[in-house]
Amino acid sequence: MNINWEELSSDERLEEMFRAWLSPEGVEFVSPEAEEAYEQRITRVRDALQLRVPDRVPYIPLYGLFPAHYAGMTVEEVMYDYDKAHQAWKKTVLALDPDLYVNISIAYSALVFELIGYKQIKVPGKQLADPKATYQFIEDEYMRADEYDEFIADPTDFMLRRYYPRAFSELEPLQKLLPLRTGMWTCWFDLLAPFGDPQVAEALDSLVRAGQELVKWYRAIGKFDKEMQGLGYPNMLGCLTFAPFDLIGDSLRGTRGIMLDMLRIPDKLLEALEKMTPFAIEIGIRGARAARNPMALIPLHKGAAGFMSDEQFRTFYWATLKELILALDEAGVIPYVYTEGDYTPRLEYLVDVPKGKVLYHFETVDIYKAKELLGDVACISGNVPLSSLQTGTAQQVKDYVKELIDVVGKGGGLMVDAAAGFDDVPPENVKAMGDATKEYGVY
Amino acid sequence: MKRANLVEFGKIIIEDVDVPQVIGVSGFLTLTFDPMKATIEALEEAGLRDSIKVMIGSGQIDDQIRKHTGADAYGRDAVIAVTFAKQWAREKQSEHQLGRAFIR
Repeated sequence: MNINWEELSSDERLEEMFRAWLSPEGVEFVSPEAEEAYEQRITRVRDALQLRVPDRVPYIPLYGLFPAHYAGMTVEEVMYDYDKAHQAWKKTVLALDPDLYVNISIAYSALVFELIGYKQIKVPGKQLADPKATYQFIEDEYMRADEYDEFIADPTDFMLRRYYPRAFSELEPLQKLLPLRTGMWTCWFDLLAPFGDPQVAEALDSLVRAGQELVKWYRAIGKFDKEMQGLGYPNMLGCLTFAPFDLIGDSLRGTRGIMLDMLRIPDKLLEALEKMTPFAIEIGIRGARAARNPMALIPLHKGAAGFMSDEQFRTFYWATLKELILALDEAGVIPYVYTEGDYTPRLEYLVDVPKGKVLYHFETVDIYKAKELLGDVACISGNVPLSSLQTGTAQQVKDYVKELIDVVGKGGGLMVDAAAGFDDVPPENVKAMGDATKEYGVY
Repeated sequence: MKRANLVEFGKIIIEDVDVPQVIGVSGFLTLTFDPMKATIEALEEAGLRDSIKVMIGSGQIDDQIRKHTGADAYGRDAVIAVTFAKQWAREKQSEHQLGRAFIR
């Protein structure tokens, strides 16, 4: 996008992002009807998001690995074979007929993980016995509590020489490198010498191979996106970014580590959170602009009620998350705040954002209270219980969606989605969620 | 005296050891719904279900899943689990006292 973003106001930036989303590059629509449907779907989503009454409540199922199960494939298969993922996800999009689709990137590429020995994802059929299981994210203390100063002083150096060697088995030799920040004059002699180490060279080779595989994977994702958009379906997600607390908690300190840090070394943690905030903002803006799609998904992992006290949430979690939300909005990017766990006690904080600019997804929440407090502030999605989707009847799901539309959909401000990503769920129940939205959601 | 031993998802073997008063089953993913059900069914098959209270818990659990699995109670955090356990222990105690009073 050749746009001078600096010269634009935040509203103009958002307008540009919508313009880009509405005109996907390199997409050929299969028919004039498909092109019209594409535009209609984005307009529907935009109206709901900006708290105007749309023609109908948008249906935006952010499914997890449901497509693999629905297509009769194992999760292992779709993680290794991009064509299979393409088939499964396409079958799902066509069957669900959603207003926004989720692409195959959620299946990841197990090939990339293997090439660099990524330790944080356990792949089904490999590190997990059942090939149909959902992949699992494994936390560890990849940064020790006494390493905060080193991280804060130079995060890039810490990532290169500490995090990558620890979290990726093939990159372990990178710990032999020296900090590259002082290569001036001929000081680089010392700094570049470790690159002559055969083990370091092998690590670099595996980086190249992983990079090449990532390019293949990105091509497969692009191919999928173009096909779906050609059929009239807009992509749900421009990019993914994270609350600064989760960036540090998920990948560097682990839940146990970061929870203890709040008590033992609160000042260090706060300093690190402030350091991370501009990076979280950068990921969101760069990603959304590159994807020409304003939706920046922010899944919230560790801020739920029961995980930390109200005061801890305010101090450690919300302060920098709010900074991220405001900065994305300023850049014309839509924060799609995907809460996980119970957020009823957090609602009083969530109201404190610009009006009609944020999409709040809920897993578990007092939905009446959410509508009461957020109704004038932000669009709401989610909350259709996975328990009903997985073990209930289609009628039960329909009834829930109808209730949701009656209560939360009143006057707009609702998009329908399950409470969380869903995997091996009866297809008739998923279908019921969409059917009910289309049946009862017309304004 | 018997002990429940989880061998692999969905397959439970009951061995001879201590029978607890309460069993708590934690499951954070939707994938755990059916194995929880299988656990409770295994207790039934072993003839232990009536003497044991079973609670299930996590953010994904609600009354729908309690019914699906056949558990006695569900909760979303550890604090509620303690509350249930204490309540059940009290009930059990008063049952014993009632029993003694009756015999007397």
